[in-house]
Order: sequence, then C-alpha cells, then structure tokens
Amino acid sequence: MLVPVLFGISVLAFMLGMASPGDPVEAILNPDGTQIIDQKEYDIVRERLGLDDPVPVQYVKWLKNALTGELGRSFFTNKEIKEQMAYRLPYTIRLACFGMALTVVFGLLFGILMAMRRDGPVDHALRFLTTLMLSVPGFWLAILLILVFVEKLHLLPTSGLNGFSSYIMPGITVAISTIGVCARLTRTSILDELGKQYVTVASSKGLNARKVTMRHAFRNSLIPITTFLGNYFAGILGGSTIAEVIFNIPGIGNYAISAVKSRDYYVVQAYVLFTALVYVVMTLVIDLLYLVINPKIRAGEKIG
Amino acid sequence: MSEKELGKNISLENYNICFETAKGKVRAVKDVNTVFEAGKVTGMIGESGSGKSVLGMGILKLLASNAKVEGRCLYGDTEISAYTEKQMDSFRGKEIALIPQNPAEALDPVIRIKKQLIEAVTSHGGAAKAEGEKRYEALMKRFGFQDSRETGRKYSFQMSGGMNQRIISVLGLMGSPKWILADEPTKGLDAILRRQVYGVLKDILCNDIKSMIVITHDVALARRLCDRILVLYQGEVLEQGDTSSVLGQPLHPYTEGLVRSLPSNGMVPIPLPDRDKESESKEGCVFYPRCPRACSRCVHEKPGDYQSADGRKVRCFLYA
Amino acid sequence: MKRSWKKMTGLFMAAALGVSLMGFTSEAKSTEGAADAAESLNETKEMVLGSVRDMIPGEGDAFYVNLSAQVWEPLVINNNHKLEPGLAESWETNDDCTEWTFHLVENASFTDGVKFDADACMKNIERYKAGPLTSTYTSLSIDKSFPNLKEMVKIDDYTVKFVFSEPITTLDALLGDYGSPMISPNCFDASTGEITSQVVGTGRYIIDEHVQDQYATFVRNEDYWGENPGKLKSYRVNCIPDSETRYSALVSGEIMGLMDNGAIMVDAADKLVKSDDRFVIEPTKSHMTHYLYVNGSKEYLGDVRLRQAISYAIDREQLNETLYAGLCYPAYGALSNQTPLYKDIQGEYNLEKAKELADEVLGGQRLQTTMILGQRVVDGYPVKAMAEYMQAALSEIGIDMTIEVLDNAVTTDRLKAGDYDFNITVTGLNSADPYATLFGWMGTEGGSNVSYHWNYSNPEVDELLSTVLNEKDEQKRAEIYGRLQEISAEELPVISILYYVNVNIHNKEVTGYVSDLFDGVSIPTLEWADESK
Repeated sequence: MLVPVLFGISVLAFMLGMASPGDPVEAILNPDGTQIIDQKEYDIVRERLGLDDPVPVQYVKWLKNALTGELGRSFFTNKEIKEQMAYRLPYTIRLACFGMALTVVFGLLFGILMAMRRDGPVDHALRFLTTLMLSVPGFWLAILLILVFVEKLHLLPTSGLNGFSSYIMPGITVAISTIGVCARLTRTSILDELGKQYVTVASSKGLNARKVTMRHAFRNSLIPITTFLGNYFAGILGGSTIAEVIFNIPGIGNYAISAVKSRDYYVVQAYVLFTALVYVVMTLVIDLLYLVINPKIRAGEKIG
Repeated sequence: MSEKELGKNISLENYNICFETAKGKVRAVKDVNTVFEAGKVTGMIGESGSGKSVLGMGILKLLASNAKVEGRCLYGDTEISAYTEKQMDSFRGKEIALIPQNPAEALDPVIRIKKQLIEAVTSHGGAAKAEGEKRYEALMKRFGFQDSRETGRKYSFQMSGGMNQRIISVLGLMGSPKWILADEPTKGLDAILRRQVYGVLKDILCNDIKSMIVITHDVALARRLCDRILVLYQGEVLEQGDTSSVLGQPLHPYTEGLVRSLPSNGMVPIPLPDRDKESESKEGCVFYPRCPRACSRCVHEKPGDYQSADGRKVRCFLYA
Repeated sequence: MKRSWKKMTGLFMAAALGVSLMGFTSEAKSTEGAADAAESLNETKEMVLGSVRDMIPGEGDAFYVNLSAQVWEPLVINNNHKLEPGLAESWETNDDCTEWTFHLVENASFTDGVKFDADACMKNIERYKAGPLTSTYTSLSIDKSFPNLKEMVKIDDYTVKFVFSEPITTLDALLGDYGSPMISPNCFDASTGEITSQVVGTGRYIIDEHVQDQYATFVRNEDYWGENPGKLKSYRVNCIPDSETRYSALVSGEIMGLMDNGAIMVDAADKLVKSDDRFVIEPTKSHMTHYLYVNGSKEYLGDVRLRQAISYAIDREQLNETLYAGLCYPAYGALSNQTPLYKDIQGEYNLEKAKELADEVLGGQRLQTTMILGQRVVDGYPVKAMAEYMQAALSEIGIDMTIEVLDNAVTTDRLKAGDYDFNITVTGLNSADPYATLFGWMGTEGGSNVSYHWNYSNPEVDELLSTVLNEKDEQKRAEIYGRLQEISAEELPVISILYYVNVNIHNKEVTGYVSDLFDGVSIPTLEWADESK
C-alpha cells in the first residue's frame, strides 16, 4: 500500500511543479531582482540542473536517484537535500511533539471540563474560549506573543534556538486552534457517550459523576479523538510553516516554503515524499492505537 | 426477614416528572401517589410512552439533565427525592439497584466484564475489593458461569444475548441491595429467553431479595411475577391493586382493554384515540379519547383516585 | 474532585512557567562587562546584530559567506561606487584597453598560512572558469568578471597581466566586491570550483561558530595584513528572516543593529527612532530606485506622449512624504542620484500637462490597464500603496487600472510574456558601471527592453552606448552617461519614481556604524560606545 501511494504522489507533485509558472534558473541567477542575466550563463545553469531534458526523462532520473536515497541538490542553495532534511527534521519533530503535548493536555482537559460541567458557567466560559482559540489566525497570534513576551516582558527570545524556551511561543502558535477544535470534539464525544445506556447503568452502581465520566464515557470517546489527533500530528510533522517562518525554526516547513517560492523542484519533491510517508505511517500508528483502545478490533469473535 | 434485610417502603406523593425540550414542556409522569411495599414484587405495566421507565429512573434519580421532578419520593421516612448527588451515590446500588433493559447496551463495550462488575462493590468504598471479588465469584457461579475468571476477561460484545442478560442480573446483585428495579427485563426477547429471564428473576426473589419493582409491558410476565400491579397510561396511574384482582377482574376501562388485548384472550385491540375527543378533553380524563364507557363528566373533569370495594385504587368516575 | 482538577492545572501552569524561565536564564548571554573603557568592552563583549538571511550560505554557494562579514577580500573594493584597492594595490591598462596589469599586495596571507601571491590569485581565477558558480548573492563566472579573457600571465610573484581579445574599459568596476573573491586554494576543489571545507580568506575576521539559518559568530583575525583591523574582538549575527520579529529583536535589545540593507523599511525605522530614543538611524546612499515599467509594445502605451503624461500625473513629492516621511528623493532620470555618474535632471508634477498629452493620444477614450506587482517587492517596500495612488492619479487622465499582486516567478513570467501594462519594481545597479543597466533598458537590443516588451528604440541612444563602451576618458564617459540620462527622462523607456535611501538602524550603544552601499554594515569600524557600560 505504501509504495503505490508514494509513487503516485511523487508523480503528481513532479508534474505540478513542472506545470507551475516560474523559472528556477531565473530564481537562482536573479534572486533579489537586481541582476541582469547573461544568456550564456542562463543556458549553462539550465543544462546543469537537467532542466533541458523532457519532463518524463527528468522524472525518471529523479526516481532512479531517489530509490537509492539520493534526493539530489537544491537548485537554490546547491546543498544536498537529504542532508538538509536530516538536519531540519529534529527541529520540526521537537516542535510537533511540543505542540502535540499542548494539544493533548489542554484539548482533553478543556473538553472533559466542559462535558462534566455541561451548561454551567465553566462550560460557557470554556466554549467561548475555545471558539476564540480556533478562530485566531496563527500569524497574528505569533506576532502578539512576541510583542508581549519579548518586547514588553523580556521573558523569551524572539527566535532561533535557545533551548526549550524557544519552542514555547511557536508551540502555542501551532497548537492553539487545534486545542480549540480538540476540546470541542472531546466535549461532543463525551456528551455522546454520556447519553448512552451503559453510563446510566454505571451511575446506578453508585459511581460518582467524575468516575463515570473518566472511567467509562471518556474511554469510549477516545476513538474519534484519536483519529483527529493522529491526523493533526501527521499534519504538524509536515512542518508547521507559519510558526517555523516567524520564529525562524530551521524545520522542514520553512525549507518547503522557500523551495516553493524559488521553484526548487527537487526540494519540493523531497518534501512531498516525506509528508506522504508521514501520513501513511501515522495512519498505521492510528490503526495500532485503535487496537489498544477499542477491544472490538482486538478480539473479534463471539463465543457462546 | 427483618426490615433491615427487606428494605423500606418506597412512597411517591404527588409525584410529577416533566422534561424541558426544544418543543416545550413534556409531562411524562403526572400526579402519582402510591406505595411500593417492601417485601413485595410490584409491577408497573403500560404501553410504550406510558412513563413507567421514567418513573423507575426517577426514583433512582437517573434522569436526563433536562428533567424536572415535583412531589416527593420517600424511602421509609427519608425523602430521597431531596438527596444530593453525593448522597445518591451511596444510595444507588446499595439500597436500590438497577437491572437495566437492553443487556447489550447496558455494559461498557471497552471494559472487561469482571472489572465492570466489581465496580459495583468498590464504588461504595475502595477497601471492598476483596469482598467484591468474593461476591463476584459467588454470583457468577450461581448464574451459570463455570469459569468466572475466563468470562470475566471478556468484553460484552463477545457474549451472546442470554449471557449478557445473566451478567446484568449479576451486576444488579453485586452491591447486595435491598431493592431491585428491573427495567423491561423481557423487552424484545423471544419466548425462550423470556422464560430464562423469568427464571432468573424468580431465582433472585428466592435467594437474594424480596423487594422488587418490575417495569414491563409484558402483561404475562407481570401476572406470573408480581404481587401488586400499577397500570400506567400517559404518565398517570389508572389502576393499582393486587395482581389477581387487577388482571382477573379489571375495573378501569383501560385495564379491561389491556387484558382483552392479550394474545391468550384474542388480542382485541384498544380503539385508537379520536382526534376530536383528544382536543376537547384537555382538562378531562386522560383516557377519554379511547374510552368506550366515557360519559359527559369525563370530558372536562379530571377523576381522582377512588377506592374500590376490594381495596384497589382506580382513577375513573365510574368508581367515584 | 473539583479541587484535584484545579490543582492539576495549577501545577501544570506553574511547571510550564518555571521551565520557560529556566530556558530563558540559560540562554542569557554572558554579560560580564569587565570594566569601563569602551576598548575593554570591544574585547570582552560580543556584539550581536541581526540579518535577514544567514550570513554564511556555506557549501554550495560560490562565495560561502557574505562579503560584509570581512572573511574574504576581493582584488578591488567597491566603496559606494568608488573603486579602491583591495588585495590589488594598484592597476593600469594599456592604450586600447586590451591589457590590464594588476599589482598585488605583498604582505597578505590566508588564515591557513598560505601566502597570497600571483599563483594564488591565478588559481582563484581558474576557479571562476569552472563556473558559472551560483550563489544567493550573485553568480560568479569568468565571463562576468573577465569578459573575453584571452590569457593571464604571471609577470612576477606579485604582478599579473590579463590580456583580452576585445577592449574592455571598465574591468575594475566588474571586479569590484563580488567580482573577484580571493580565497585559499586549499579550501576549494580546482576542477569543480566548489568550496569543499570552511572558506579561508585574508580578511579581518574568521568564522567561528555557525548554526545554519540561526546565527554565525566571527572572531578577529589577529594577523590581518592591512590597515584598520577590526575593533571588535568578536561579533555575532542572528539570522531573523521575519521583519516583525527583527523589529522586536531590536526593541527588546536582543540585537544591537541590523546587518543588511533592506532589513527594515524606511518608515518603520523612522517611527522607531522617533518613539524610542535608544535608537538612531544611519541613512546611507542607495542605488535602488522605484521604477514604473511600462509595456511599450501595447497600443497607446508605446506612444511617448502618453508615457510623459503618466509621468506628469504622478506627484512624487507627495509619495515621498506619505510613504517615506520625506526621506527619499523624487526621481526623473534613470540613474539613482546617489551614484557617481548621476546627472541631476528635474521634472515636475503637472496634472494639466498630463491631461493635455493624454487627450492627444487617447482622444477622450478611457484606457483599461493592469498593474502587476511582484510579491518580493510588495514584501520589502510599500509599493502596493504606491500602486493604489497611481490608480487614482492615472484615472484622472483617462487610464483605468486594476492591480494584481503576484508570486515572484509568475511576475517574471508575465513580464517576459508581455502580459501586463504596468509593473512597479525596485532595482538598481549591480556593479559600479552603469553600462550594463542602461544598455539593458535603453539599447534596442537591451535585455530588459526586449524581454519585457518595452519596444524602445532610439538610434542616438544605440550610438552613445557603443561609444561609451570603448571610451577610456573618464570625463567623456561622464558626459555620455549624462546625455543618456537626459534622454531617459524625456523618452521614458522606464519611468523613475523615487530614489531610495537605505536606512540602517542601530542601538546607541554601538558606534562606528557605517552602511555600505551594496549590503551590510562596515564591520571593521563597529565598536561599543562609551556610554554602554
């Protein structure tokens, strides 16, 4: 399953790249718009990048290399793509993990609180808050955070990597709207479960509301929540671009954005391949998680 | 048996339950006055929508959050309708326990059987785990599960309908309650399973408890199991008395109709409500639109609970 | 039950805050400012600056590190369009400009110990032959630096002669700055020209630490051969690509100043300085100019009268006031007023004249046009506002304009395809010699003229251009360029709008901050001000 998907995506991405307007040679030789490009130079560079070959030939050459792990060189920086990806991946992963942690903790926390205190003041307040969170645009929040925490309070560094503190603001930026969505999804899922009969039965045993919610309703509501969180994680592993750009975290998202701007086809290819891989793997992980949280999948057979 | 083992009487005084819905207020239980005697089996029978399940759940305070209760419910002398949630938590499962309808839906699908059952004991105090285990083993064996360890590791979806039925009976008994509230125990079951359920309930009555409320639309089951019967229609108790009288010589026209509609009596249906009569009798007797013996008084006046000659209570002007 | 929830969240918040504070303190730079005199500060306190791009593009880049970092040096230095000796201390050419002789400095060495001499110089030039070598700054190739080179001859250990098959009058201009980098032969592969390890130069600073796209630190070369060794013992440049973040970094004191030109917009800098007295602006010369490109191949726009009308209809003074607080200059001629060969040509804002000329051409009809803007320019300058102004201004003379902001690559494509009417861009000279630029714009065969469909052709211009190519006499050259600028203002192949001014802003704790024309800040003169203790 993995292989045909990756193959198909790589072909599609390649074609899209080639079909899009814009010229990578132009981008390389005239990056700031002030250079006058000599035709001879243009031709040499173009030929060197292999752009003179017909598109299918270019694709096949790329594929042959990719199969041996050689992802080629960036047109723009001339650096080995696989080295760059290896260099950048840990940063993206760190940011993704932190963002994920925030989402899981606060998303679930808020969702459970809202469900347990349904229609009360806490529920209303959190519903308002989570709506706010999921409507806040990421870049606006990032700028606001910098204004408050850096300029006014001098608590955090603006950008770059200075240990854990550098991931706080980007992490919040990455996680905030998802916390909103996750909280609401959790609330809805738990409330759905709370309407089911086994919950009434659990209460009839004398369990208090908290135990009923946490031990029974919540456990059952994990399935849709896990799907959502799994997809989210796959998405931010592909690089949370806004946060990476504004806070200058040298991750994969950052890399992809500059590559798209300068028509750096091979980088974009590598990126697309990577994200496709991430999604496929993540789907597998979610399936495995299902095995854990949903015993129906684990043990299928009836007896008696 | 002493009163301690029997439990106390459950009394309902002017008991009303209504639900706040998007379409307005829906009255599910209207002006119920009755006493469920400890040591006896009382059945509540009626069609779907008659409010019997709601009434049962109301006693245990397990209604949805949009339910409003008026009137009082007493356990012995204590007004349990005024209990806080915390008080109810200690009360439920210990004094009154539920054997729910729909065994398949009644169990948590992602938690193993044994864990769910033991919860019924440990919820009343954590130190009771060992005691819970003992009770679990005993009850499982009694209800025909030879290897309670293995069964306990299974999930509800792995069991057949009959097995789940037995398990929820065990569930109800785990907390050693005084009262059992059995909610629609034979709903949707075939004849064989119905017989099984009857057997289980009888068994419980012999060995464990004496005080039971059975909510059912299965009149045959009620006849066989119950000492006393309450007949409900649209939230009102139309007739209440001991079983043989109510089902043998029904007084209220509705009860008559019910008995006649039994398969064994030829399944004569009760006439459907007349639309015009419905709209004109809003202030009157709830059964007027379908009553073959209605009179003009029934249209605008609500009947009270009248004592009959043999000690039954009937809500009909015929017996005023 | 309620209490345990509250406790949990409370604990979490406290933990998060605690960790973040920890992170901050671990990151705080060691400010063990030793003593009082600024000199000691220069030795002990690392200066932190900010830049838009990573100062060290590194492997794969023809130059490896930005020129302004002062790690490698060129043969010829372009100091605000004045050509000065670099590693070549003097040079001369023969009568017909086919032979150029360069005398190299004799006491310079690369920091890896290799002596800089004629051999090293020639090995470097062989490296250019392996090109074109691409870079994020500009490309490096033998044809760009030494066009039509026939041979190079080593005269002695410190003298090299270059022989050309065609005369070349402005070789030194072409070699300025990025035209002639000199690096140690041991740090590059002779056959491919690629730099294989960290670059080694003769400059005042050496690369110390580098984390890609994060920061780079440089330490002073204590064995520097030349004058004015760096004042600072070490400095660090943080790479901050986002403009808002850069601004915040300045305000919070994280950086003392900005490294690149264009790192902060003129009006943003102006506002900051007015509101916060910790900062000061250094306006410097810039060769960048706002131009309005007009598609001369289109009906009506090809008519010079309409272009003149457009020029008259634009109130450059007002644009300057509104967009740049009056800091820039209204422009009429094609060359920036801050370049050495500038001829001052005045024009005017005259709506009446504009309407007259427009009516002559359009005859009362309204012309529908499209203005395209490239994202890069929009990001760096307030050209969107400028375009909107023009939309209003030109509608007064019968031209209706829609504005499209496009991706850079798409903009280039549309320009090349002639699928546009107007484009505002900001550009300037790419070397000290204006020939290439003016030829590109005004010559009948000129690159931009042809590619962007301006359809401009003037035999007098072509004549002047071919003359100046071979003109050795500086005075005569200046005259010809002057005439070309006059023509550019009359016939408007491109319409100049504003001459840009570079601003670089820095914290007052720093002095000696001098912006260089092309990029960067002159590192050697930077030092801590006395008051900063």
